[in-house]
Amino acid sequence: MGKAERASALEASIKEQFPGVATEVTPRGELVARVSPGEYLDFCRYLRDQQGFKFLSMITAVDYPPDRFELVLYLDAYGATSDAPAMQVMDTRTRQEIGQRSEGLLTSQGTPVMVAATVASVIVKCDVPHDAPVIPSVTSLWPTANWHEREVYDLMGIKFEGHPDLRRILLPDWFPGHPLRKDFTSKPALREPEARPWPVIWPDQKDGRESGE
Amino acid sequence: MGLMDSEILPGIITVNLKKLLAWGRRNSLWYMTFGIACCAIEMMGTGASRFDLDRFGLIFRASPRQSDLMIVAGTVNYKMAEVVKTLYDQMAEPRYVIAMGTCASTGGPYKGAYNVVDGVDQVIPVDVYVPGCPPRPEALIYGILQLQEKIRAQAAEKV
Repeated sequence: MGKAERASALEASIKEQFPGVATEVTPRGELVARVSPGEYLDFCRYLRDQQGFKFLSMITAVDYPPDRFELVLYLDAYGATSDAPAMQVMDTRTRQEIGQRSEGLLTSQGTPVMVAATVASVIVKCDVPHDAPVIPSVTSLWPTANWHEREVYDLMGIKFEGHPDLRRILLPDWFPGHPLRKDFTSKPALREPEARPWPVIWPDQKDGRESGE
Repeated sequence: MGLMDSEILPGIITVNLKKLLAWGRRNSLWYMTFGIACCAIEMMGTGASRFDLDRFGLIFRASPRQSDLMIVAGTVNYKMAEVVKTLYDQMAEPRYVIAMGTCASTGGPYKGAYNVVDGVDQVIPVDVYVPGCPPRPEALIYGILQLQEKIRAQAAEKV
């Protein structure tokens, strides 16, 4: 069973469980699922727990002014299927032994390389309203979502409810606005960096941050 | 450099102290192990054996406290500007700065981008600008030689 057939099978079971989710299969065999903000978290949990999408590859967002942002999640499932094992040892021979007809992946010493087979991919898309860009966080499902969501918050200004540490990640804390929004036009002026005091090691000197630090 | 008067005092050199210090400084410009972007790769290439900055008395130091020279090798963004300033403040005087590449000099291809400092001279004073994207090791070496010449000329000035 190829990736496209597996996507079609997944599409059928999603139709059963979540009738409100619009789906389509891309030519590359990825399933695109459009989900409403209300169902978003439940749908993600369903994909992780029931369908085995344990790997969150990426979170990003697209700005469609004036009404909506589109949040995009790329999910992958790895593991054994009827026609492929979960992890494949590509080759254990050295390059000299197999000559130039190297088909498997090998390091220069001929160490075998384990390759995890992606058995299915899903792209979850969720429309977030432009005037109140709030969406539940998926950090409880995939811990890696932490930094991805911080990046989306930083550059696009979408707030993630339930995120443990929603701060800017790429830009300085004082940065005004969210630069990947279409309505962001002007470059903010550089704020003069502060001279930071260096801790003083002599106990009788008081001109550092604190003595004895 | 100095004035050797072997007839009066054999083996003795008389020299202006300011010039002697400048001679020492310009021939032992220890530079900080500090690279921000792709120019840092070229800086490493300049420091390594093929181009060998050790020939000029320049060696990498791992601490700003021990460094005389900061080569700003790469794009400085707003968040990094604070780090660059902190490191510069930690260097002991006399200290020198080379802006390596167009990014550090003017912002380069990223000039005007929302998060890029248009030239590191907005944050710290720069002695020598080296153009290039990235500059060849020869260009960086030329910039360093220009800095050495600058240190020599500053010491030769009448105060």
